[in-house]
Amino acid sequence: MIKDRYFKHYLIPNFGREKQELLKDFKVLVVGAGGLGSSAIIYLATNGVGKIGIVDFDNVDITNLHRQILYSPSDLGKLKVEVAKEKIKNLNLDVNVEIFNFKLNKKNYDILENYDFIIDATDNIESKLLINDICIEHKKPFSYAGVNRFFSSTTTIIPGKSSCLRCIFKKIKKEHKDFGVFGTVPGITGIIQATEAIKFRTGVGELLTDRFLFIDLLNMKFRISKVNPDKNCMCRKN
Amino acid sequence: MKVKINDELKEIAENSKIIDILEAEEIIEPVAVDVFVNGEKVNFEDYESFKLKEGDEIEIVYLFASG
Ligand SMILES: [Zn+2]
Repeated sequence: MIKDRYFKHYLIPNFGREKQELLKDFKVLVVGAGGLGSSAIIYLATNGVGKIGIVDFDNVDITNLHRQILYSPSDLGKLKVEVAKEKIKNLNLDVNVEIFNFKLNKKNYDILENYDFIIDATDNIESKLLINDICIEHKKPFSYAGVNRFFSSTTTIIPGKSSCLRCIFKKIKKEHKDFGVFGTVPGITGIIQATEAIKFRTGVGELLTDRFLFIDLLNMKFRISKVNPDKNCMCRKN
Repeated sequence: MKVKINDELKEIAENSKIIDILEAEEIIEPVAVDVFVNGEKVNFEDYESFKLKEGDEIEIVYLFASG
């Protein structure tokens, strides 16, 4: 067997070369190139996802560096999407990168049409709900994740099949203070989002659908809650 | 009285309501929660009136907004 960069995948019986091949024309859009986005993007790239789209409007700031592992001190002030594109090219030339230097909104979200799976790596509730709603409207599978201090939560949503954020949460605060983020929390959580994307494409294992994973790195606890679709939710109406 | 909150045994005051335990979990600071008591989802409108009792198993699901 040829030893290329995916060799260790070929050794896994239910993954193998066949599943690896499927990633070649898999297109993942990562919205937000911060803490969650950095780790998701790096693993999508090293594992050979054929196309990665990145949406972000920010520049690299010194307060990003403890958790946003795509960026180095020499990147301070540069556009995140441009630095990210460069880093991906250094990691894996198999990956095609498309960058969007804007904040996702109701006028520009049609870019997601060209992608198979969306990763919500944004850092505000307004964007998270927007991604939920447009993914429902366009029937795009996506991974939600959010972090706070030592904690995070994540779930995978297949529109029309599994619970969306609005099925689960009926009263959501629109204002959100900055409560701080412990450096490793978005890292571990973004990796789970990248894993879900790859599992979606390859069909291996069980997705994190209708289940909410709560990660507590303070007490080192991982907990899964079962959640149910709400038959009256907007995601159930065609 | 003793209840279980996300699998952990906790001592809470008699006549505690759901809102009381949510406020006690303040270090977590979610933007939204979903609460189940003994496997049944509780409507958010009832968090202030829903009285907990000894032995209840409470499950809280958290939504966070940072990234
Ligand atoms: Zn829904």
